[in-house]
Amino acid sequence: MAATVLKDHRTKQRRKVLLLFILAAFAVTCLFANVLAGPSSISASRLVGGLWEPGSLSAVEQVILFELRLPSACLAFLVGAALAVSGVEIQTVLDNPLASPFTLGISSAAAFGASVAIVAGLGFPFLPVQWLVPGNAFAFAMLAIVLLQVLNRLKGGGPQTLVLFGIAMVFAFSALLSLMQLFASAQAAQMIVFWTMGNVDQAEWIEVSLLAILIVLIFPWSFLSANRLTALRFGADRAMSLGVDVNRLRLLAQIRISLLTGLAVALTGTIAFVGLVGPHIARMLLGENHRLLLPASAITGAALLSSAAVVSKILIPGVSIPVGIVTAIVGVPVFVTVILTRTSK
Amino acid sequence: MLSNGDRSRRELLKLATGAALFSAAPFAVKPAFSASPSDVSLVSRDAPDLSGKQPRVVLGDGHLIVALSLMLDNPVSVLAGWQGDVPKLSPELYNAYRVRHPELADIPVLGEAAAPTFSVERALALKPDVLVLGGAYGPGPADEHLSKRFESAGIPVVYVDFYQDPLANTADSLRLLGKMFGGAAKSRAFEYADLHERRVASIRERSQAISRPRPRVLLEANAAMQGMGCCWVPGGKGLGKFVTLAGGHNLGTELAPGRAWLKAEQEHILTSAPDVYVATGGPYQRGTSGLEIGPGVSQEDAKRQLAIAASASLTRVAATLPLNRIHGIWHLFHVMPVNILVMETLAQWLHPDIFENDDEALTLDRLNRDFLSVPLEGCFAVSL
Repeated sequence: MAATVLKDHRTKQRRKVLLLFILAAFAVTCLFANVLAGPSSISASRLVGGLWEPGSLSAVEQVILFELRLPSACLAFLVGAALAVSGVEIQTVLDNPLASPFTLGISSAAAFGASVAIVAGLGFPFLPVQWLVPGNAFAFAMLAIVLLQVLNRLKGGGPQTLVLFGIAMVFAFSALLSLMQLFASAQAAQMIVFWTMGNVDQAEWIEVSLLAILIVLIFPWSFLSANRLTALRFGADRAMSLGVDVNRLRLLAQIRISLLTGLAVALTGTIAFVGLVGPHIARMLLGENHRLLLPASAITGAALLSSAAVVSKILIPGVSIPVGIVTAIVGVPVFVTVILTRTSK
Repeated sequence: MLSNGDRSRRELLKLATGAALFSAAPFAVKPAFSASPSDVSLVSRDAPDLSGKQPRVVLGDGHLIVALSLMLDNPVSVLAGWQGDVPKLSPELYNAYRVRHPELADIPVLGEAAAPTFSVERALALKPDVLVLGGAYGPGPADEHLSKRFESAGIPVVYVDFYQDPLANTADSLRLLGKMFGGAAKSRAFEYADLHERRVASIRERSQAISRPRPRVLLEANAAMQGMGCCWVPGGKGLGKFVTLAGGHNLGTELAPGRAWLKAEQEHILTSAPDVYVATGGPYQRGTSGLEIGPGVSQEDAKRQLAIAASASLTRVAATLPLNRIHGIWHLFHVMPVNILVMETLAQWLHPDIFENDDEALTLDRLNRDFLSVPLEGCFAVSL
């Protein structure tokens, strides 16, 4: 009897791992589709040829492929993965399926930081001018998260209190952002609006590399906590009885989330819903075991944002819609479904 | 040509990109962090030599086409692509050009009316000889991500400025473009640039000699425009410099000496006791309480709309000023090399005893006759 159950479980696990690989292949397909889609009419075969043999492309085509399409496609891929992994971690540590990396106010703080750079030109003096906006956005995201931790420590509160403080952060920074917009010139206000829409069009290789390095450092760290995170899904008490230091787990997860989300938002602006919807899709496909759920979320997030980027390029020929708008449009129906199924329980 | 499907999708985009982008566009004030790019000047020192061949130019600001029409008989023939601000913000101007040069409709449009919408990839794919940037409704010197990529593709980027500091940069910008095209274009551009400088010097000399107190001038951008609120006025730069040059005291200069436009507090404006009120507007104000003026607008319509705009303006100046101190000009002068008309007109309005009956004064008729290959037709300045 036990052997049958075990065998059954192993078959299921194998199936899930297979599904994970299929997902990964799909995500890579989306990445390539994103490289191949674009407003200029360079054929796919020419681009693929150019990837292996850059010399076969003209100077202009080389710039389009290597300085526009590739960095932007890679950034979309990485940001999608970063936000979705942050999403699944925050949903687990807050024990809240509606939480996203932005629930704790990281994006609002980042947007305010960006606006300070855009409107007032204030930022870190040692940074070159093109890093002023992302530098400020990252700094304010980190500031917000430190403030949040201090407040939560003072109260000694659990996840519920943390969410409440997070909501307070969102409102506070949104108000400050409005204040900056009030003082902004019309064009600066317009740039803030564009920034908060979230886009990957102006990606630079240096930005892609930065995020890639952070992901290489943080994803394995998350993966090492996978079993403890899975245990936490059964409730904090149960996890503690299994020997998990829940407070430490929560704190470390929040540090990872803050770094990943902070950098992703700083580079692209606010891209909504990937961090919320990515984890849910992964969960529906592969269940709660974080050893599978974490990589699956990364892959779904990457696929989701890459495909949103493709849609944003082909929806209106010749016009690139900020990808943040498209992800929200795709994300809202999924979000609503999650809420509906949740309340009907 | 755009198909109908493309057009309706384009309409959709207007909704998608949000009213904020669109409504803010007519102002096009430079963001603060790029207002003082320390290492890049607003006007390039050099431009590629395109004389002796059929040039292919991409315009980062569509309104720069007026600068081209000052020096070229057919400004459309050199266009490889352009930003979409002219059809969007000045459809009447667009039609005037399209009637003369129907091929304008086939020129690829590379964005809307704001810098972030300019498609770098589509512009690159056109493989133009040069990219000319104006920094008003499209990218400018601060957008390094763009210039870097053009330069690595071997396409030179040329900056001109009729917007940040038009008084200082209009003549140099035109000379730069003239040199780039060479031949007859060069001599026409130089002739206009010299004339521009001469007129600026002449007006400055006379206005500086005025000993009586300078009239306090309230210039209000897009007066009484829906959703704009109160009160967009020029700071010390942009049109504010023109007011000062013409012998006026620009109310916005003391509020923000370093900016082209600012939103002043209504109460401050209400208590500022201006002597002269100048509203700006455009044909896009048709059917609203704003000032309808500019290409394709008749003098009578403009005058009637000025009365409506002045009384609807939240600055409430109409009641406090005599009618002959209420004027209106076309808003888009703030991005165009024909800005000299603003100077001449303001000077005559502010100090008629000194500047009226000046035979040297540049008029719209003279610009149309001697320089502009596509004439500006309509009412561009009006008084009650």
